[in-house]
Amino acid sequence: MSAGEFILNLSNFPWLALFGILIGGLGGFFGVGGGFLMVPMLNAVFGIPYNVAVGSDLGQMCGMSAAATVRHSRFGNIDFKLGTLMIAGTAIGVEAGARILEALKHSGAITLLGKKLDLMNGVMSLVYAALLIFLGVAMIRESLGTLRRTRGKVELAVGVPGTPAALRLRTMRLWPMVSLPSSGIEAISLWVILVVGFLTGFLSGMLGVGGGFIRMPALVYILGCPTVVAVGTDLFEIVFSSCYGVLTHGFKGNVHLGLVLALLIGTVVGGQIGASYTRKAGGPWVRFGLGCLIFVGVIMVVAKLWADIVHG
Amino acid sequence: MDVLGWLQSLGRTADPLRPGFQPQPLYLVLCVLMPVTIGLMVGFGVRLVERLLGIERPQRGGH
Repeated sequence: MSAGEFILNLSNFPWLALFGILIGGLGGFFGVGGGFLMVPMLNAVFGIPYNVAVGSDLGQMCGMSAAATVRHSRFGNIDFKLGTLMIAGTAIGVEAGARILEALKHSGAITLLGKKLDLMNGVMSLVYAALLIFLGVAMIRESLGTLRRTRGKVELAVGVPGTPAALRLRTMRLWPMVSLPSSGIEAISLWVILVVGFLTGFLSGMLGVGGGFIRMPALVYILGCPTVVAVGTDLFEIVFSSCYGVLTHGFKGNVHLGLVLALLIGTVVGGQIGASYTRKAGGPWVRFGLGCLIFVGVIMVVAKLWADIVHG
Repeated sequence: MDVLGWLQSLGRTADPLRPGFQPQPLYLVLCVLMPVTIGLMVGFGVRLVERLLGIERPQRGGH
């Protein structure tokens, strides 16, 4: 049975929804979107090609981010001006990422160890494996460092964040300058906002990831937004970037509506369950757990790639 | 217009993994509108429940 027939078979709908609950639950528990686990796992577990996994993941992100944006807007956590300015950069980035994925889709196969391997499958698996290893190592290092520092103490909030390079970017005087009162930013170059939007949009368009672990930290560390505003603004921005992503991927035949709905139902339920359990675990331990979990994802991606190479 | 029947036929035929699949404009609109509508319904539903239960805005910290 092909991946497409598997999704179209309504009796398999609960399995996909269950998968959505699992990923949504992990996302809610660890406080991340889960896109970086969703796409490679859809490929590794269900055999769904990367282009359809990315397009359909963006579809479920539309729904998830719309729901979360409504909640954050009630608490005044969204800087609408910043989010709207960023949309232009993000849209161009999403389009660039989607076009690269489309080029990979039509690039055919390469011969590896005497066997034929689909180039898109090979490249995307390697990119995901590298991304997941980078994230896993960073998360485990950071959480172990925090655990060592705060042994026997309560974890303190980080002060005003920003590396010297980020502070230079933040204070760069490149016309036009904009002020963002809702984020407490007096003046920042529009180009910095657009570049951050483009880079995160590119990752979103090509890999279906980038909200929780790229754009949100970029809003805090590069632009200097307060964390709660960064979370709300990130979600507001994701609504538009994922909707644009669905349209551009949809034109290229990469969005499966049935898959989108199954995943969305699962992630909405799973997200609530995961978020309710996260209060019971300590912050650094949660991040350490996610770091270890990411390596399980790496093993699955590499194993699937190896199986594809061996079976040709 | 039989909307349910149309949705059922869409569910049977809309398979992007089938060779030669050409997405129709209405299919694309549906791909965007359906998840966003579900998301907004869930968001406003949760917001209503929070309001009924008297859940207030959390304290805004700095960073």
